[in-house]
Amino acid sequence: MAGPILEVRNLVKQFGGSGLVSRARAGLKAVDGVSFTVTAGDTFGLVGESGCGKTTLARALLYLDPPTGGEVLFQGTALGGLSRAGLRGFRRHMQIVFQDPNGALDPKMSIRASLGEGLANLGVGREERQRRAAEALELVGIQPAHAERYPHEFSGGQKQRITIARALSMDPRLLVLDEPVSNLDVSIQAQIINLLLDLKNRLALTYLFISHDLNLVAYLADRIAVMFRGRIVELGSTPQILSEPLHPYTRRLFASVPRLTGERIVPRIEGDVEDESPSRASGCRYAARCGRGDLACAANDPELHDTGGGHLVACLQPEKINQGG
Amino acid sequence: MAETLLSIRGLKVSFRGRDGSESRALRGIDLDVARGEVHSLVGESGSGKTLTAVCVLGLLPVPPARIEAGSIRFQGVELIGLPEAERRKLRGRRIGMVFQEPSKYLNPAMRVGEQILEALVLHLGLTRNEARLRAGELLELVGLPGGRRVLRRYPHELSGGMRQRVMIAMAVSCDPVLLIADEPTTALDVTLQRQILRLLLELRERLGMAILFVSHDLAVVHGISERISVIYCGKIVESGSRERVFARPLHPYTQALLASIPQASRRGTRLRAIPGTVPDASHVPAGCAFHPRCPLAVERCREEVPRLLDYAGNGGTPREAAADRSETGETHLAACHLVGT
Repeated sequence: MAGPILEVRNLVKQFGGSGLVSRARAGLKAVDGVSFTVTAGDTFGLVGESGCGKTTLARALLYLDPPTGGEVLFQGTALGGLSRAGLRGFRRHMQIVFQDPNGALDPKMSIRASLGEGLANLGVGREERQRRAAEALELVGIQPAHAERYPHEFSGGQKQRITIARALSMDPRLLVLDEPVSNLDVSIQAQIINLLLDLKNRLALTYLFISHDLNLVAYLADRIAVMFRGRIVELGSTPQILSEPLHPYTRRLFASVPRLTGERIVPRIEGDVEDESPSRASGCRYAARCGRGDLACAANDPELHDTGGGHLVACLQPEKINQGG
Repeated sequence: MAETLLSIRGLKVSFRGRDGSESRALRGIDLDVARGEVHSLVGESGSGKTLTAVCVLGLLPVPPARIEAGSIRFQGVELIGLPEAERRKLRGRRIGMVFQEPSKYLNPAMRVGEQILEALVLHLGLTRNEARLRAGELLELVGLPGGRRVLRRYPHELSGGMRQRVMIAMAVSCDPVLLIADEPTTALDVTLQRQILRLLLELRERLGMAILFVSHDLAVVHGISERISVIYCGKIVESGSRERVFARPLHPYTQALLASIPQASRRGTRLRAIPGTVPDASHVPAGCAFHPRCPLAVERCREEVPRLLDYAGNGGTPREAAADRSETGETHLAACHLVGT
């Protein structure tokens, strides 16, 4: 069985520690003690709503914005202990693809130059860079002959292919895909998803796939972690998460997703249940929205624990929820 | 079919670029919205779905846009060519509107209450005190309890979901018979999206209004619509009841769209992707605009623009789409040479 390629242990990313500018933001933990392991060759899905900290987590674990606590092990090596040069050497094996290819590609650089930049930083020679760029473009279905063109000459889907090619040119083992198809039209999304499936098989890649689109994650991922307010509240295999969700937030999330096979949505007026209060000092962070939280939930912050079969949940009363259906 | 509320026929709109180039953004839209129904207009970006809604609202920027042909009848009144003063009376009063990004349409420097009051005083002739009472009621209606407090707030003090509720309250404040909702939940998280969709459906029932729901999201549309029209390159390619379109889509584009959507039940299989890209409105392919991406296309598809015909009848033999669909029974329209072959 394949071993872990990425281990994230109790990762914390805290912003604005001093509180000089804004007391409210002082010590805000966007990522608050996140632990998970990604098995080599898997697609690990990370889902959550906007503001839950999933993108911050991605940037922290790649040390693009270094975490303020915890550690990240890539193929067994702790990234926190590496020098800048050491980190650079490792990072080529863990590449990220962002949602918006327009922001990721410099409009003033030709595709060839964009693709060569990262390799040049690693000291790869010119000829080798060109060869690798051409190879990577070919892999994503862009004619290498078009490498002299500029980003504006490509469609949105093609631009996303190019950013994937750039990541591939670095010879990665792990690709972090942060909402890679959310900006694309429906008819283009499937092209890119199929491409990602093909590349994963051909190049034996591992994916950390971040998305708000639960249908997409349910389709792609082997395991799913559900994030809420900086924490993972549930983690399990995709069948576990889909057919026996344990956390009330997971249930609510998946029950809210519109599906092609779903029932008609029932008309109803319900109050805004958005909980805008700042995170509480103690207790479960979902308690205010949960509706079934009791005194124990208000007092104790539940730890993520294994309920059996590698299905983890951070809820004091998941069994009760199961019985309630 | 119930009484037709809105009827669009042959609507053609083009844009002239600065360089003199012309793009045909709408190439003959046919669309009927019946009283009280949720009718979804589904398409990808650049397909003309928002532009169609903009034309109904009378907010088309002329120039650079130009209405070349067609008719938009609302409750029997022709809207094209109607004086702006008349249009304004309809807009906000009998036709409400909700958009994707409420922040763009709410005045950031004005308290929410003032903005709701404005419409009530203008359209309904209420006094300010009456309007204030009504505004509080409206906010409760859209799920903002303690509406009075919300009235005193500025838009930036509200969450995205609350702003969308305020926008909806304003849209329904004058009891419209038609609500045009353009991607109203696209910017929202799924849990909030569901709440807003439920709210819109509830308001539809209570107020008896029809909703023209503009969206790119087939799963959302599946959850809320009675009727669905699919738009591609400025033309309706298919239109029918939710049941028919999802169970028996007629147009290859609709079929391909439905097959391309990832879902848990398709795990382990490749998605059926649609090759190529959505053509630009300035380079619409000849014949059927979908033919370069269509796996079934034959010579005729490259040459002849297919007409929107009705396939709901017996045996699938096409018949002309009736001019007034309220007189015919159920219709299932498609614009494709290959349906039934």
